[in-house]
Amino acid sequence: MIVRGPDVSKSRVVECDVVVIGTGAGGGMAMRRLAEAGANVVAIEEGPLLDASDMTQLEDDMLPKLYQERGARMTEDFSVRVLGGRCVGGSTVHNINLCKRLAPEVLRHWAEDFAVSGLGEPELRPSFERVEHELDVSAIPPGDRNRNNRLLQRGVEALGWRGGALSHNRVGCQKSGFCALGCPFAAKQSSEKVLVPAALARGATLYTETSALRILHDGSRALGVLAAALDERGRPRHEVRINAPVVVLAASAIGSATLAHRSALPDPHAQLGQRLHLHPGAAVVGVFADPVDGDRGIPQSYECTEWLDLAPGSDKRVWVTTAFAHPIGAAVTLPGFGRRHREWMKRYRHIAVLSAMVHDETVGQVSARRDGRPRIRYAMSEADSAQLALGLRAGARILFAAGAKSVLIPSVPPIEISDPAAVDGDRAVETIPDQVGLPHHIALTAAHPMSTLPLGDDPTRSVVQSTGEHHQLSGLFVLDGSVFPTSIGGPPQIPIYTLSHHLSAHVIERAKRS
Amino acid sequence: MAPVLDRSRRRFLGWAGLGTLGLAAAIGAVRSTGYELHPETLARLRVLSAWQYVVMHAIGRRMLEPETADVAAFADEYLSGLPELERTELVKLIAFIEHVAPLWHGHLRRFTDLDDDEQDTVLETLEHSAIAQLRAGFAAIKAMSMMAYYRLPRAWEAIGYRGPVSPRSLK
Ligand SMILES: Cc1cc2nc3c(=O)[nH]c(=O)nc-3n(C[C@H](O)[C@H](O)[C@H](O)COP(=O)(O)OP(=O)(O)OC[C@H]3O[C@@H](n4cnc5c(N)ncnc54)[C@H](O)[C@@H]3O)c2cc1C
Ligand code: SF4
Repeated sequence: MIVRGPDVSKSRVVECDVVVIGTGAGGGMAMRRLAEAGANVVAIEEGPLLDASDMTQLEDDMLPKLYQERGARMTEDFSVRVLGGRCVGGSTVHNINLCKRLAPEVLRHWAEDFAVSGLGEPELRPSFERVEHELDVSAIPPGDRNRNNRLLQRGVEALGWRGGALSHNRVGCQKSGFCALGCPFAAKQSSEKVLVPAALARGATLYTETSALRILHDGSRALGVLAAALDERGRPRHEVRINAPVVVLAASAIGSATLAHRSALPDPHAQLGQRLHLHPGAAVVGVFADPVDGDRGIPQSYECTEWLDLAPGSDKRVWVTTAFAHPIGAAVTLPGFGRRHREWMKRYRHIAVLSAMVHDETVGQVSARRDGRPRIRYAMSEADSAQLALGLRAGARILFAAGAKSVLIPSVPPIEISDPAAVDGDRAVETIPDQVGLPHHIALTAAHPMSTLPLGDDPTRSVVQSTGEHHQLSGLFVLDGSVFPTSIGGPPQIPIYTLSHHLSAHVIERAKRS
Repeated sequence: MAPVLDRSRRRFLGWAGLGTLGLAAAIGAVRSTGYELHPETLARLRVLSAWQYVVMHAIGRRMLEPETADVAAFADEYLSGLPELERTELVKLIAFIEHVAPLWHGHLRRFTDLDDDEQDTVLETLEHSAIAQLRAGFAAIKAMSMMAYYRLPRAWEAIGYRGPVSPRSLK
């Protein structure tokens, strides 16, 4: 059953076995697993339920519809734009569908240095396989690579660098290129398409347009959730109190940490919201003689991993992929204004865009502001900024190797390069200095917030146990991107779906005991 | 490259900017009179006042030249959907551009009284300012201007963007 917030006509109290907050990768999977196990599940989602016919492919329409804070959420100093979903399905509705498992070296690092137990590669493998099967994960066929991605591949191969094909979870994709604005063809095997309906079919109840205000607890046990049913304009109207002995928090790394702060959860070791990672990234643009038309086709289908080594302490921590944007996104990124800017926009069809994304060591903080919204602090370290610059240099070399006439780093001031030799060897650091990667010197975007309620067995260094259950509050589980102890250096959806799938077994057990 | 100034977080201007705004007021550059707006336009505004609308219009003109779009009306609509904090900051920034930024170049006139080249110089100074927050503020104002124009089918046509592919979106 689905109950829309605007349809709730008076305050109410609901009783259930488990309440799930958020319906993205983590929440959708938990909801489905719990409903299948026979639990009486109520899920709360602050955004609306949308379907393919709502996806107009217009940036100015879809960004406010699909994204938190209308797509304009920023870190406190305005240096990084932090993207995340606000609708049934969460960020899986507008993500780019790349699918990768957690790297074994990352899992080893968690076990050895963060006291994580029971989550090694062999233990997680069956869950990864199950999740990939359920979400129809497959390799993107080489024939489906658009020109932007073929240019990345050509450049990587010409340089003899490491690169390869990516996998995705799409079925019936029309290659329209609008993934980040929601799929108008229902081709994404996302949470709201695959998992939420399966949970509803097993008797789960979903409150949409209903925002969790506080997790209810007595200091040692979770007791439920206090939520507000929103009206048509998104304003809180009626209280919905959900009494449940088990609560699953899956409101994303930003949303969950904010809600945890608002709920004054016990935090004796001051760990809550203290280890935010973002995978911050920036763009590098190549201008080609022939049209690239990067806006059409599957947006990302090839990767360069030459500069990405996930071993702890590595000095190669940058992932290079493609990152084409629709006109508003492109206009905001390209440098200058007025006539100068327009000259750049005229090349729209002829540009290829790559992105350099940092597997970050910087730790940021998430807390709640007085108006209840997240406060995100993230002062990118010099080491991470240098990694970003390394990635931008790599991107520039790839574009030239693929035949670009010129390359642009859209920093302040912009760096325009027409001589490929300028990004080769020692000259590269002069052309694209490390400072380019510093915050406020280039537009930084983060689509992968993580690690705000990290898991591990040591309560002085983590917020939840390796089972996902809170160290101090029994019955509260966290099952979303918040639980990664470190940055993961790759697309997070499959890791989140999988951890939620795997750890849901503990939630089911706890629900049975309650 | 300029170091990142982190004196005031989540504020485009912080005390330094507001201090200069005070200075501008003291030397008489700040006036909220002399801004003409059609009563119908004024009646439609949700967030911006008449003078803020006029300034935003002037900024939008320079941002998009040689193209045009109703940047001020779009900004008013856009700002109405933003939380209070961000809205107030952006409105303060508009005041800063109108009254303070021109002083850097020795102009005792308001931004809206400068000629095109002078206005461009003021905007360029903001764009490349050594103060990180002012660069961020410029980026926010630029983003609003670009949104106002690049959401229009005529803008897509001008750059060869083919637009949405599903018939529904074209309704
Ligand atoms: C543009 C973009 C592209 C991406 N591309 C990829 C990709 O190709 N591959 C990949 O692996 N990952 C990608 N990601 C990231 C991936 O989608 C996310 O990491 C993942 O979905 C996060 O899962 P989650 O469960 O932690 O949170 P989310 O999926 O964000 O879900 C959280 C949900 O909680 C809800 N919520 C928050 N607060 C409350 C509250 N108080 N009350 C009720 N509900 C609340 C939100 O509305 C949201 O629906 C992308 C992300 C973005 C933004
Ligand atoms: S490219 Fe495929 S998955 Fe993406 S929006 Fe188009 S049809 Fe949907």
